[in-house]
Amino acid sequence: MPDNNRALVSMAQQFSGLPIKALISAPLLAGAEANSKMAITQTQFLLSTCFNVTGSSGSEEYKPIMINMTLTRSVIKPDGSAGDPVETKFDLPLLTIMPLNSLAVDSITVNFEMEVKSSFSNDKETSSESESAAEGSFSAKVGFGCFSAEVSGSVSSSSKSASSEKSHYEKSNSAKYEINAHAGQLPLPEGVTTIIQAFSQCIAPIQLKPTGTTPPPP
Amino acid sequence: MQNYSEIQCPSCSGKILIDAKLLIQGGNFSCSNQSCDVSVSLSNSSYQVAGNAMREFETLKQNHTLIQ
Repeated sequence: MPDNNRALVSMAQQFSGLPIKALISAPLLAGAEANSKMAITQTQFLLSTCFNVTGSSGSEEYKPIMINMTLTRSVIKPDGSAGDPVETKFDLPLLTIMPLNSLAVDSITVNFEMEVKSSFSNDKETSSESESAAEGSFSAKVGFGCFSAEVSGSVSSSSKSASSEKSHYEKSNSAKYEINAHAGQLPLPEGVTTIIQAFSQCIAPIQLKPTGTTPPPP
Repeated sequence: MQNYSEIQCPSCSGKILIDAKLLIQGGNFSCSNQSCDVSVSLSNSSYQVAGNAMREFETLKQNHTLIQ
């Protein structure tokens, strides 16, 4: 006998046990941790590669590593012909040519999809079919003088009976948890930008004077 | 990712955009000011320093890619 009172799965009950907080906060915490690691790595790179460290522990002094650049300027002679290009040397902090960017996880998308399916169907099909067969016949013959009579008869009956019942119960759960984390480029921190600007604005060619010359009078 | 750096032109204070990868390969970079005919390149004495720094920077970028 099917259980006609079988209740469908309670959706609220299915969702109540979900660790929603953990599902959302775990990717965010992982993103923050990744950001922190990337920032530390970049800072260490910047200090170790672009600076020379002097001094003892606790009182380190970071001096920027300089690279020498050649500035080339074309020269046009008074007669209009091209002269030999003039080359000037100047020093540039290595830091200023490094394409530093602040890499960081700039977006995290958490998609959680949960599907609880519950269905119940009860198909009841009852048909009665019974089969019985009976057959009988009789005959009688009567004669009286010149009269005679003959009676004959037969009877039959049939019936069928069948019974069937179908019950169907279906329940399914599915869950999908999708995290999209994207790391992109953020603007450099204001402090780093200021340092780089300060370095790059101090670029000025220095005219070297020939040795043995006396400075001009003021 | 931005692959160039910007320095100030020593001659006209305009902008010179420098691609560090091309710089260590001997590239010249001109001032963005069209009336300024200055170009800059890396001096021979600094190729090693700049090359080492760029190699380390590429390694750092690859590690970041792995994190992503």
